[in-house]
Amino acid sequence: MKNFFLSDANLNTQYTIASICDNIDIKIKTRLLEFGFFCGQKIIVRNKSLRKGVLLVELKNQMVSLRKEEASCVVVYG
Amino acid sequence: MDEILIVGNPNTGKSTLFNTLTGEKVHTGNFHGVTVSFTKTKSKFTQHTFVDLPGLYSLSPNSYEEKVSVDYILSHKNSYIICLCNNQTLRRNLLLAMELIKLGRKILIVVNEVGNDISLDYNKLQEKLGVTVVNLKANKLKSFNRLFDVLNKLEFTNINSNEIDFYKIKALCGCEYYRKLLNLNDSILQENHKNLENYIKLNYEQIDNILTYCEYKSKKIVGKSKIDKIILNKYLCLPIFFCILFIIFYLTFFSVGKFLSDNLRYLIQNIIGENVVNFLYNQNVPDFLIALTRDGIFNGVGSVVSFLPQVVMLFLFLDILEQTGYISRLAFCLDDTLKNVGLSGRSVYTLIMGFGCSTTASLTARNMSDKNAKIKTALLSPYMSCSAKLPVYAVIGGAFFGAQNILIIALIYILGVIIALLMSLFLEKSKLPSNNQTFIMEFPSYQKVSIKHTLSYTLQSALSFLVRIGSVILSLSIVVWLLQNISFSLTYVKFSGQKSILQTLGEILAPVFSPLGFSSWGAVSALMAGLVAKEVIVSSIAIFNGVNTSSIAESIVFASSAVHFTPASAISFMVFCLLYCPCISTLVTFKKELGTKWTVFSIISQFLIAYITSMFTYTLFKITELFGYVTTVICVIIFIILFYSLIHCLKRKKNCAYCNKKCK
Repeated sequence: MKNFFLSDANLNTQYTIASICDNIDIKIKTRLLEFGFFCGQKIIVRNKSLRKGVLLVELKNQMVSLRKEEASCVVVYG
Repeated sequence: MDEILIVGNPNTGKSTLFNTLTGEKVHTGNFHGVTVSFTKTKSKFTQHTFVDLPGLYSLSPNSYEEKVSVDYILSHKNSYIICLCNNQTLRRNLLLAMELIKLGRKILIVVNEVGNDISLDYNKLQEKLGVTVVNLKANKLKSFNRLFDVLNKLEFTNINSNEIDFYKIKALCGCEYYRKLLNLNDSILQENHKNLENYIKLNYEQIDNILTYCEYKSKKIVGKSKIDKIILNKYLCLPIFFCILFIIFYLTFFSVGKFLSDNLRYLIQNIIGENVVNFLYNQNVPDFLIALTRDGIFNGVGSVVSFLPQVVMLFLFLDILEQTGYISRLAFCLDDTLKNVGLSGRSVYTLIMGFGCSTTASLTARNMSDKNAKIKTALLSPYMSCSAKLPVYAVIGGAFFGAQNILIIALIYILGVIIALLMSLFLEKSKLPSNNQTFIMEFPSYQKVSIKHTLSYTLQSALSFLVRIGSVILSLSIVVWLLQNISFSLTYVKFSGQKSILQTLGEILAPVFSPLGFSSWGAVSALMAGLVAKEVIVSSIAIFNGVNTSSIAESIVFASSAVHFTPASAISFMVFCLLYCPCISTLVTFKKELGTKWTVFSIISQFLIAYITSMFTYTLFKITELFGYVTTVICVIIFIILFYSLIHCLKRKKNCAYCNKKCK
C-alpha cells in the first residue's frame, strides 16, 4: 500500500498511521504523540475548513483538529 | 502542608471539581485553556487546601499556562495530587496520570463521569494502577461521599523520591524544560525524536493493556455530532457565526436589553434620585452637597448603572457560547483566516472574551503555545469593544441615529475586529513573527447549557459590574464633578464665575482633537476620565452637561452644551472610544503579562490608531455631507488600493515554521 501524508487524505476514509516525520519541531511532535498520533493507529479525516487549512480527524474515539502543516508530518497508508 | 493539587488534561472539569469542593466560583467553560493561572482555596468540606491548576497533557509543558502547572507540581513535592480524568477521554487522560506515578508523587485518580454510555471496572483500574481511584460527577456534590472518605484518610508525609531520573528521561525525549533544569546542551540529544516516540508509545501500550483489563468500553466519539455537518459546513460556518452575533446584539442593545435598561433608568432617576434629592432639600443640606449628590452621583453614576441589564446580557450570551462548545467550532472555522495574520484559532477565545472585558481576555492569551502569538493576542484584546464601552455607543449613537443605531453599533464592533486583524498582520510582519504555533486541539462534545451555572456566572458579572461602579466609577464621578466645579483658585465656579480646573485643562487639549470633529472641552475631558475606566465617559458627559440619565442623549445635540456633537463628530467620537488607550486595569495586566515595553507600545499605538481612524471616519462623513455618496465611494476605493499596496509591500516569504528544512 502506498504511503502519503495525512493532509492529502480523503474525507471519511479510514487510514492507518505509518509514522511521524522527524523533521518537525519536537514540541509539535510531542503534542501529536500525546494525542495518540503514532504508528498503527486508525485515523479518519472527518472535515476540512473553508480553505482546507485545518483538518478535523477522528482518532481513538476523539475528534481532534490540527493544521494542514501538522497533518503533513503524519504519514498514513490505507 | 495539607495541600491538594487538582491536575488533569484541559477540559476535564478541574475547575468544576474545585468549585464544588471549595464553594468558589472560578470561571469554567467548555473550551481548552479557560484556566490560565492557579487558584488556591480552603475546602468547605474537608481540612485541606485545594489548588486548581491549568490543564496539561503531560509533564512536558508546551505553553505558558502548562508551564505554570508543571512548575507548581515540581516545586510542591509533598502535596497530594488529584489527577482528574474524564471517562470519555480516559485513555489520553491516563497518560498524565502515568507520568505523575512515575515521578513518584502521591496521587489520587478521580474519574469525572461525564458520559453515561461508558463501562469501566473501577476496582480493576485501581488494582492495575496501584493508586486509589474514585469516580464521581464533578458538578454534583452528592456523588462526592467516597472522595471525602478517601481525603479524610490521606496522610501528608514528606517523600524522598529521586526525581532526577524522571527529568533525565524527559530530557532524553527532547523536552526543553527538563534540559534547562539539568543544564544539558543540544549535542547530547540527537536521538530525542526516537526516544520520544518510544517513550509515549510505551506509555500508551501500558494504558491500553490496563483499559482492556478494566473492560473499558466507550461507544461515543467525543466531539462528534450531527449538527456539525451544518455548523462546520465550509459555506455555512461564517453566516451562522454572523447570525449568532446579530441575535446577541439585537437582544442586548435593543428589544430585551433596551426595555430593561429604560426601566432601570426610570427607577434610578424618577423614583430613587428625586426622592433622595427632595429629602436633602428638606433637611437644609448645603446647595453644594445637593448638587454633588444630584449631578455627581445620580446623574453621573446612575447613567452607567442603567446599562447593567445590557452588560449582564452580553456576559450571559458569552457564557452560553462558551458552555455549549461552539467556541471550539468557531476556532476550527477561523484558524485559516487568523493564521494569515499571525494568529491561531485558539486566539478566538481571547478575542470573543474581549467583548466582555479586556482585562480578563488578555489573561486568557496565556493558552497560546507561541510567545509571540501570546503577546499579539493579548495586545489585540482591547480592540474588541468591551462591555464598558457599550453605554457610549448606546447614548451617543442613540441620540443621532435612533433605530439605525444597531447598524452603527454592529459596524463599530466590526471595525474593532478589522483593526485588530490589521494590527496583528503588522506585528506579524515586523516585530512578532509567529514561530511554532500549534493547533492540535481536542474537540469537546456539545453540552446543554446549565441554567445554574449560567445564572451564577451572570450574577457574578453583575456583582462585579456593580462593585466597579460602587468603587471606581463612583469615586471618579465625584472627582470629575469636583474638578468641573472647582477652579484653580479653589473656589466654587458657580459663585466665582471662574473656569473650572477640568474646563481649563480640556480647553488646552481640545485643539488637538479638532481634526476629529470634537473640540469641545467636555468631550476631551470625558476621554481623559475614560482612561481610568471607560464607563466614566458617559457619567462625565452627564455631569458636564448637568443633565439626568434620560436626558444625556438630548443634551449632546445642542451646541450650547459642554459636550456636543454633530452626527459626523458623534461617529468619530465613538470610533475614538473604541480604539484609544485601554483602561488602567488592562494596562496593569499588560505590564504583568507582557512587560513595560509592550504596555507602552499598546498605549502609544492605540492612541495613534484611534486618532487616525477617527480622523478618517470624520473626513469621510464630511465628504459625504459636502459631495455626496459617489465621491465618498471613489475616495474609499482609492484608499483601499493604497492600503492594499502597502500590505503587499510588507508581505515577505519565509521558511516553513513547522520543519527545520525548507518545505513545499
